[in-house]
Amino acid sequence: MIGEGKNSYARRAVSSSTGRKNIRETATRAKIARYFPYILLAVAGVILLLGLINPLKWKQARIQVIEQVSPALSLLSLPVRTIETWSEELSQLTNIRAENARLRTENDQLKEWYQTALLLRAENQSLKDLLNVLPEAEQTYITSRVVGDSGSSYVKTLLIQAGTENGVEEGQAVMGRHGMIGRIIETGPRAARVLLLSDINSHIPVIIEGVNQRAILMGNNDDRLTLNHYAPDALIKKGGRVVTSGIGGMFPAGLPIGEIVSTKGGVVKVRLLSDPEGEDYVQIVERPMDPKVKESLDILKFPAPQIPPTKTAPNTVSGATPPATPTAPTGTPE
Amino acid sequence: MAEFLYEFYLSLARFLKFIGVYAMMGFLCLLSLVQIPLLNMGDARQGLIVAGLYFWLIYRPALWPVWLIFILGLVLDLAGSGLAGLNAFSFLGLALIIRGQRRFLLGQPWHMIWAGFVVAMTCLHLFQSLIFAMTEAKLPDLWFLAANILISSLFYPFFHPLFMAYHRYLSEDRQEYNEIK
Repeated sequence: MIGEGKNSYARRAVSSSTGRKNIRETATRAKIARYFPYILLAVAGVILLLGLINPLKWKQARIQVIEQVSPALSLLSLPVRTIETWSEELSQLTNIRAENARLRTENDQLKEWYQTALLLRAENQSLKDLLNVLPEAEQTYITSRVVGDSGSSYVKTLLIQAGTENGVEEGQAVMGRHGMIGRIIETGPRAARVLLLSDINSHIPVIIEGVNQRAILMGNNDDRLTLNHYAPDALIKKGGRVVTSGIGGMFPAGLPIGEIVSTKGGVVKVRLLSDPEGEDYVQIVERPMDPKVKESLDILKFPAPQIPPTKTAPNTVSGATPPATPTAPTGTPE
Repeated sequence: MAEFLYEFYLSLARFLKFIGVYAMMGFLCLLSLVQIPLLNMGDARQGLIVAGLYFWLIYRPALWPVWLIFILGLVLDLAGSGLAGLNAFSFLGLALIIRGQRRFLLGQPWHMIWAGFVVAMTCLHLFQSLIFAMTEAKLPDLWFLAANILISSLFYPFFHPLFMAYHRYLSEDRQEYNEIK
């Protein structure tokens, strides 16, 4: 009996301690559940602060996410594009006659311009030869479809369906239909993000054609961009064309960007030649390669057929393309 | 065995129905990132996600635990190249407010719920504009902000009947399940 009593006392003691433990655990869990949303809110706040201090901190994560999201966005944008094309075609049908007449006139003008361009090219080439100008690197492009954007009016970016696997690199210039619209800021293997020129974080070196004035084109999240850091006595006029200056070596010189639309109160506003938000396809300008390196690569890519050596020319392999040498100057300037 | 299979089938069907809610939200998230020519206003498209979040937080809060809202916001931040953590923070804040007002909103007619959504969108846009104004040292364009709030608020009446129909469909399933049990 005594033993039984002891046992029941011990059992009760154990059960009461387990009960107390359970109550404590439940209370702790309830506390965590109660404060969990606030803990997460604090974590989000910390992430926000870290992002503000170091925007590049999330770069890798962003690349991973866009890489995963871009195929789905590409699929989803298809019906949107189709509807857009249909609506455009429908609206064009209504003024097809007027459009036809306008295009005929434009075509006649373009033919005249073509002749002028041919003459200018020939003249330019002969002058370059005369001055022994080093040949400029050939420009190559990668064309890609736009699949998405930032989804925010405070961040102006585009998501394109081409990445490092297609030769896209960070810093490359991105062209729209009529001019430059931005540059590559993030690249994944099959997707990349373009920072538009209109984004507040976009600052690029430009030159105003005609007056040959250097400046910095700054985005302001608006469709009218601002020109800054130009000489105070510069003769900047409305209608002047703005092109890339090529300074810094990031972009090739002479890429068309926009035209000056106002110069009121010392604030120069520039309108882009290409509307980035209406672009379905963009062209990424590949960085110009040194002509000699390109030539060597071409030889490696497309080697000449191997023919057995003949006895006529010792120490040479006949049939193989001799390494190209820079063209000799046709004339020397006096 | 047959009873077990039937139970399993019911559970699976119920699971798939609930998955539909997440699939809908996933679709809306992607739609908010696609370039839509009619909705080039950027932030207005955020209304698509917030409309879904707002509805489900009122009618089915258990389907949207805070950690899921946090992840949703963070993924949107990373996919949209905005400030990392901004959507996560604002969605979580919004979720906490909506959960606090849930009992009041549940008994209201749909236009009152819409009015609540307009208030939620206004708070969200104002908060995000404030953060951007602080980071970029530039005041937001008030007309643009107002247009964004207005357009995103107009999304809700289109989605409310759709979400409500799905919510009823989910409830029907529970009723059927209880009857069978």
